[in-house]
Amino acid sequence: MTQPLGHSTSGSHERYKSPERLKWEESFDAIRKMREWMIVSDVVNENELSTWEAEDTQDVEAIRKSAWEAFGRPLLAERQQVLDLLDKVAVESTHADQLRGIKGRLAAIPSPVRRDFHVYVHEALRLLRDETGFSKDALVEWKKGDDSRNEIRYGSLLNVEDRSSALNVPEVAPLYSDKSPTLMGFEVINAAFDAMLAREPRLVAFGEDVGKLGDVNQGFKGMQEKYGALRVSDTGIREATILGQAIGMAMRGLRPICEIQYLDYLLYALELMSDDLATLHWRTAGGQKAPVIVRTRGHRLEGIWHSGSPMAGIIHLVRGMVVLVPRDLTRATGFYNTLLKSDDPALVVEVLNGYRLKERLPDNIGEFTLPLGVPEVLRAGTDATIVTYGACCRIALDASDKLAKVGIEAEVIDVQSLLPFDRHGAILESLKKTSRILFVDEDVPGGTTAYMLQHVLEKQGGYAWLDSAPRIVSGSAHRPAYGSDGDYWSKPNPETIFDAVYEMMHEVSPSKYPKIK
Amino acid sequence: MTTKVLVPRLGEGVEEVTISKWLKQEGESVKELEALLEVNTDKVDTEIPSPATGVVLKLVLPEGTVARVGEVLAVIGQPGEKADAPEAASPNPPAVDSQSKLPAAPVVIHAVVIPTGNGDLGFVSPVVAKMAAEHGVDLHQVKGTGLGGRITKNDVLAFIEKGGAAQAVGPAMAARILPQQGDQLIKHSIIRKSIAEHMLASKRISPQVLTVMEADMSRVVAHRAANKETYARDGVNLTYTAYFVAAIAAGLKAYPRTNSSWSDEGILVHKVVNIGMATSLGEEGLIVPVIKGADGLSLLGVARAVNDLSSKARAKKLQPDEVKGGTFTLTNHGVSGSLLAMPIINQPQCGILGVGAMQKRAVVITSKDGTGDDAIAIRPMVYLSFVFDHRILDGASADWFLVKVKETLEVWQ
Repeated sequence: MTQPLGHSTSGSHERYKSPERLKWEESFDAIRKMREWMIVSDVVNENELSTWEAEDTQDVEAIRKSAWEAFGRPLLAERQQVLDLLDKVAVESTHADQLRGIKGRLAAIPSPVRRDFHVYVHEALRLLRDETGFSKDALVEWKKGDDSRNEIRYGSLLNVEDRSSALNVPEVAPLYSDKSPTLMGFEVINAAFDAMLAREPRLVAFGEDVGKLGDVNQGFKGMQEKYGALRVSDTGIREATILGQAIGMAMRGLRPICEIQYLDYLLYALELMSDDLATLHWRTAGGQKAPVIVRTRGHRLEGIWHSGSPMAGIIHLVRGMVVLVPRDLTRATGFYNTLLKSDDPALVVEVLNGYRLKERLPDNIGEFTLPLGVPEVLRAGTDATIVTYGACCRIALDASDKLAKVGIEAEVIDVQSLLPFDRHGAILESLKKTSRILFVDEDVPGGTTAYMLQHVLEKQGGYAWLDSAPRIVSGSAHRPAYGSDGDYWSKPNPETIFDAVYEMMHEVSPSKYPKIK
Repeated sequence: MTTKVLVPRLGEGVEEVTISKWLKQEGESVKELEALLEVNTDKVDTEIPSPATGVVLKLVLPEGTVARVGEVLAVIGQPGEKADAPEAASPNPPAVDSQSKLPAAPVVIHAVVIPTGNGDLGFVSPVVAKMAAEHGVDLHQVKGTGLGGRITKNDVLAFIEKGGAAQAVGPAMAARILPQQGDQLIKHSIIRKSIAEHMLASKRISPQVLTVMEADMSRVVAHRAANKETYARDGVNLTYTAYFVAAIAAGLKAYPRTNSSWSDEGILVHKVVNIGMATSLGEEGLIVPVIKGADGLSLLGVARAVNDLSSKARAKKLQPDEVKGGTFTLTNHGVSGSLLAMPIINQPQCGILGVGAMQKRAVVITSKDGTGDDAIAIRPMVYLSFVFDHRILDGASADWFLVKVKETLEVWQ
């Protein structure tokens, strides 16, 4: 009979099939019919079958029991440990009766699980908060140890942690000489991809317009000609397939760079990135990896479908992946080089309005690497710290020039990497100096700026260093409005960044920085 | 159009200000944000800037007035305008940033200056609180230059740089002494510094009261004369100090509360009786070796301990353990001639007994034969100066102890 429960108990067939239909399914069950046929065809007789069926039922039941015991044995042993610890504490404690009560309740659970131990130990420790002693210490030690073990059981290996982690790739700085030419951004990344394809035989790149056209901004120009259509190719307009192909290839040992033409289109592939790619390492406890590099470009075209920056929406769905936001193509190259030396799945978001900006080509374009999770200070200052990434870096620097003219020196920090984020507390160091901080990006309010703010203020302890309330300048809640004017009013611009910093300084020193409006 | 100057709210909970000084007079012109007047709130002086450019038409409240937040201080306007002319719509000098409504422009969230519960200090930012704690800065002393007189990080830094950071308790009001020609600066030795710190701290910690009695030492003198040689044969120099230590031990046993320390949770009565003996090191200072378990020692034991510790002290051979753990202190200030003194308690002890110089005095003795006749006798007398912690003992209970000490000495046999 078709399994009546279906997908889950909430979807049981009994809820929607008629009693007649259910009865029919039962009587025409395939296994039942097979059994009948075997008897009718003299393959076997009823007695034999019944005997075997009875034996099999017993066997299965025995195996089930033994599996259940094997599962329970370590848990029962752990519970016994906890009960013994509770006993010892009760001997010395003024709360002896209550502790024995806790012990009794824990002992009474027929099939305890780990959660039970912790709930009861926690209750005991709450009771014991006003006491000290060796046996209480032993209980605390047990809990600490068990917390660590459970952290490993349930929470470890979200990211690649072994030697193939991107965090272990040694940093190699970009080298410049008199001969280093000044090129446009797209030429830098083109040279970079050329070097990557030359040195890494497992590298394949594909996406919409990547092959023949060499991508919409010419980053892959000439690469299909040079390395062949097998290594650099076009796909149809189907982002989910692009991701799916990349995941499959990566799991099998290739190194795919799959391109999503614009950041805005990433949403079509986001379900796969979240469910299939980001969870792979964790849910297999490191047993499987898929070192996919998703390349995209974004933040800064104009208009509702081409200039979104939903970075928070993205990073919150792909924990387990690396998410990088290089401000220019040199930084992007460093990241690609790092990623190709490691096994982390990653998303690299290049800045759309950076392809025609001038950058110097490093002599070691194929070798230099950029470490993940390390911000860069773009401009030193003492009055306030501006934390940002991507296209907003240039806007923040513009605002800083304007601030300098009124006597305010802002420190501008490019975060560069959202997952992982500021691993060594560089932003905190800046905050210690300035005591004033502003987070800027193009995401929606409460988006990535909030993520960064929580990390700095709470995780890094930045709160204790604040002299002024922390500020945020973000994009609008609505999608970017049309035209250049719409874009101006939907995203941070030099004027709004200037205003935010100036207002902070006005509050600190109203005589030095009188109100502007 | 005129602009009224209102009393701003300079901090949470600050409801009124005192007008210290008008910086502009009626008829004077003033620019917006130019300082108009000085006000005082509790301990902070702040300037109030003018909310408008114009001429001061009227100063409504005179210097010295205590004005409430929101009251009209002055009126600014154009020359020739009447002070009660219609008011301009524009707001008053900003004290605390009010929350603006969200503009249609890119979403910029205006921060509200959130006052913490710091009363008259106004908003204390996390880093200001942190630095104040770390450097022992009393924020009431710091001038705030932030909006509305708020204390900023730079204000605290400037204060510390000017040497304003105070030590432990209260602002130091040390007089500035200017060295004169011929003066000699004797640098502090470690002992000197340590004594200074200890003495100053002791006076800050407990309220100390002196009570004085005198004791007739004739019996002690006689006892000592009779036993000195016997003790000497045992290698012990029998000094008066031994008697005083023994008498104190008796007093402490009789009134255990005197053998205690004050704590927030209660009075901690010590089981052991460890009597410290203040010993002079000449010009270098003093040190207090401790006779442990003085209540369990015979006079011989006490005398031996006194000898031992004194010679070690003079030879600078005292071990750290020998100067710790005291529960009461004896100071023999009489050896240098002093009759009566008010010694300083050796914290965290409850009391200290000072013993003055023994001096033959004429005293009145009342006969005990029932006649009540008075006669004048010459007796070796000594003043006992007992300084006690008035948190732990009161006059009466302090005197019970002192009486016991006195009596122990007076009936010695």
